[in-house]
Amino acid sequence: MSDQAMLEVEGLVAGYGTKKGFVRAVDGVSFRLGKGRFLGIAGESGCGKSTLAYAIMRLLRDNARIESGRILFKGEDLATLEPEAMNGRRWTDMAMVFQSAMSALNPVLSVGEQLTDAVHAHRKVSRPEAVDLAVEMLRLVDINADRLKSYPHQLSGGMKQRVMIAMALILKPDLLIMDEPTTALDVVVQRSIIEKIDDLRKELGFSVIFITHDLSLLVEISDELAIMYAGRICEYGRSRELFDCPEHPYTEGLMNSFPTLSGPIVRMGGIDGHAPDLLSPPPGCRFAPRCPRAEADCSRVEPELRDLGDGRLCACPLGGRARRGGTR
Amino acid sequence: MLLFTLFVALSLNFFLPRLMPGDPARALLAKMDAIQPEQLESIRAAFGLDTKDPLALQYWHYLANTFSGNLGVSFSRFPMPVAQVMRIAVPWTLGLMGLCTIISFILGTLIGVFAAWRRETKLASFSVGFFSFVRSFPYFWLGLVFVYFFSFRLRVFPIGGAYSVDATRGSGSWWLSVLRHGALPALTICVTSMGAWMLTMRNNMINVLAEDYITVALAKGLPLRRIKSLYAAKNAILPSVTGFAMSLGFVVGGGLVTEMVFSYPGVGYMLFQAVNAKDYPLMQAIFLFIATAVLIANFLADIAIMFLDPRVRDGAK
Repeated sequence: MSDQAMLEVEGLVAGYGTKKGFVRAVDGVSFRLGKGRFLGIAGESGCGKSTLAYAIMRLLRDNARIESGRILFKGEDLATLEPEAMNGRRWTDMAMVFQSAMSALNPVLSVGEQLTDAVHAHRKVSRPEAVDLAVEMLRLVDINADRLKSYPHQLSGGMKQRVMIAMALILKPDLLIMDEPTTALDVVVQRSIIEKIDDLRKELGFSVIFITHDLSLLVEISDELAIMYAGRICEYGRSRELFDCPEHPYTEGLMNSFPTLSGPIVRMGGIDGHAPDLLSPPPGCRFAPRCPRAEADCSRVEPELRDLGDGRLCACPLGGRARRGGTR
Repeated sequence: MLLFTLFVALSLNFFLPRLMPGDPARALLAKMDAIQPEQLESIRAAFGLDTKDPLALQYWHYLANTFSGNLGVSFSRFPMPVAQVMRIAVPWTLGLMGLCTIISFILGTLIGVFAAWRRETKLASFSVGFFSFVRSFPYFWLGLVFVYFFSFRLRVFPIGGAYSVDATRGSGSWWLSVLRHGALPALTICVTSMGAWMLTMRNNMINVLAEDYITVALAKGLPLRRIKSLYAAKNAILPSVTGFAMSLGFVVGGGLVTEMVFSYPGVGYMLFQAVNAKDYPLMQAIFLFIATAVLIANFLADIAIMFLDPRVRDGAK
């Protein structure tokens, strides 16, 4: 990890107020992201990964809120920033690409208007300058300039998502958060989008937080990986190493749930049971009820996120043992 | 398509009154005393009711006359031509009903936008409750209540009519009397119809606010005014526009009961009188007018939607 942390999340707790109480969808998450780095966050549905992304952008709405913790962006705490100041940060410092390529664009505004309104909101530029910028960004994502006049319904799903990426990068943000940006797309388009993001990152030098439930997508392009379970990070490490040698039983289970894009064909596994109810999470390790290697202590003692060295963190007392044993 | 629909409307307009029982000449004469049989015949001749032409030929004449602007002579206001009767009534209805429909649509929609955008505020919740309550009043009932209190009891507004007969037409005091006469019917219409626009817009808007593109707009850090108008309201208003055009079309005849309550000399009141007097030419002219108005309003709605929604624009190409 780079010494110069651009984003530092410390003990973040965020979630949703319900009639039965506050659901801690993100329950004490901490991580650091260096400049130009690519962090993948993976986990199953409901593990809090999207809430984490929305919390960083301060986009939690209605009954959702940040309960505690700090989100230090270039040393400034976003969690307590005034709404107006935060609005100024959005898109200039950090931009976001959303899961639903199909519905993320306003159907009654042209692509050009939606690209340039972000520019006009944050920079004092003339109309032609904004349009030039929009054309340049579209070119970056391989879309012809005459598409500026198009409306969202005239574009394919893959094109919409590329327009969204162009839109996210138009103000050259330092951080790009991508919340399952390829989930709604077919596999071939997924691949091209991910390669595009990787190229652009190398060209423009922004950092990426890439959220997905599909680990196999992340291995090849992310620098670091964080695995989330039930609102917490259960394992963190360098992408390749973590993938080759997972320490946490949950990471292992997650990997067995997806086919790799390359490599030998193996029998698929899965994880039995369901993610826990976050209103009343199980005592001890939250994964214990589903863990194939759970021991008696696991349901009593809450595991810490231990540093195993080499930048690897693991929230399982068994971590490190497996590493020496070299399973998988 | 528009012309075909108009033709169908015209034809129905011709045949339907002829299916009604009763003899217009006798109905007319029943109002007068001591009429001789020969006079009855001459009145029939004057009204063109003595024709021996087959129905098909009458139909042809009707179509030809209608297209040349000849709507016939009113039975009940003989010998005034129908076109002239209409010219007197239509401005009152357009002025009162048309203006009220437009005002209540604009106000209702704006309040709906506010009630959705600031839905956590007390004022927004109150406006929802208030308009749901007010909307459920039957408008003629509200009209009667207003007439009773403001005209009969408090005597602050005239009890009926559209203008003061004492003032010279077109003078300042005449216009003032027009406003005073129009105030109660206008209030009735606006109060009872605004609620529907407000609640429709609020519901549409709340649905639209949950859309992903609103979250994207927020993430982009756009000015909230732009998000409210171009991202939320522009999408939310689309279903309302069609409804608005429909109601504009029905403005022409839809004010019937209101105009009756306030004895307002508009098209609705006149239709009521025409039906009572079996004044076929006038009835036909009014129905024709309503049908045409609905058609034109729908046509305008299609154009407006095409202007607002690029998806419809593409479908029309």
